[in-house]
Formats: sequence, structure tokens, C-alpha cells
Amino acid sequence: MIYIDLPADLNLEDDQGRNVARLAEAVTPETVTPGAVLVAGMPRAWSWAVVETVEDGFVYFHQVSARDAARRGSLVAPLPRSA
Amino acid sequence: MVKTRARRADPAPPPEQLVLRGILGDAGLDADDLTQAAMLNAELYDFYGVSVWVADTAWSRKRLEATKLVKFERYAEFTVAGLTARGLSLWATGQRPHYDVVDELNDLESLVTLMTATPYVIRDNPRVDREEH
Repeated sequence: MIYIDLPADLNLEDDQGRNVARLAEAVTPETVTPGAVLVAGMPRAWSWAVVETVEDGFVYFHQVSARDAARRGSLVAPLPRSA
Repeated sequence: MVKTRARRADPAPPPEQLVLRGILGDAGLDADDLTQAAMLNAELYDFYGVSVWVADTAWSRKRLEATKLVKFERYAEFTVAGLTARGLSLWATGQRPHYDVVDELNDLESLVTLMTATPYVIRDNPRVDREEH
């Protein structure tokens, strides 16, 4: 089961060749900031990704390998804190 | 804020050229997926468009499978002729080999209906990168 942080259609590229998704569809929009590493896509077509910018409700990101993603930080999200 | 989409001044791709789009879900080329894709494009660029990749001598099928489609297990394969025969157009948008399939009247329902009615083949991507999560 793949945990998708940012639902996205990886067919879509903007004029700079970046992928684009709606910020509002992110599982935790507050964590989607420039430089953040996350999993973007759909369960059958996803990629590690690095957020480049967030603008006007859209997230612009580029795909990276798992190795690149790991170099940027932990690939394991912290467990949610209990109330 | 809506952005202006850059359109390349490329010559129209020849009729026999392949047009590839990665499949998002289990249901093949799903009308809901196409609708969502076209709506997102409209939010960004103020026109309904569905992103596709057009193969050519520089961007062969193999190269597309290993790059633009590398995260997709399967993809839909159209031809330029198949899409244009249905009245759809291909706009050269963004960076090569990205294109948008559009309905010139910018009608969402027509775009999706015509695209799903266009003959296509579902291909497995032999170059898919199934990275571990």
C-alpha cells in the first residue's frame, strides 16, 4: 500500500518541466513547503518528489529517485502524536 | 491566478505519430481521470487540456517509456490521426514532447467523450521504475 502525500497526475508538466498538483489535495498541506520531500502521484503511478514552490494554491515539484529523496532526509514520516 | 501556457511553434505532428498518456488507475483510460486532468489544466491555464506525450525521432517510444512514463505501469497509445479524426487538436505546450489534447470549442464534456471514444491501445511499460516506498 503506497502512502501518497500529494495526489498528482504525473503526465502534467508546466512550462518549466515541473509537475503540478493542487495544494488543497495534499494529505497535510501545511507540510508542503519548498524543499519538502514527499510522495506524489497516484497509487499506480507515483514518485518521490521535491517541492520547488507553492503558489496560488498549486504545488510545483520535480521527481527524484528514492536515493535522492533519502539524501534529503528521512523517508519515514513520524508517527502521529496521540491526543 | 491563471497563467498563460507557453505554446511551441512546432509543426503539427504527422498523422501516424504515436500519442502516449500514462494510466493513473486500475480502470484503464478512465473518463473521470481525464475530466480531473482537464479541469486542473483549466484552473492553471484557462483551457481544458489533457496532457500527453508525442513520440518523434528525438523522443522514441523507448525513451518516453524510460523517462516521462517511467512511473507508469501502463500507458494508453493513440495516434495523431485517431485523435484529429474525432475533431480533437494537439497543442504543443510546455517543453517538448509535452502536448495537450484539446477540444477547440473548449468544451470539457466533448473533450473527454471524444478522447475516450478514440481508438487506443493499452500497453504495459517494460521500463517502469517500481521504486520501493
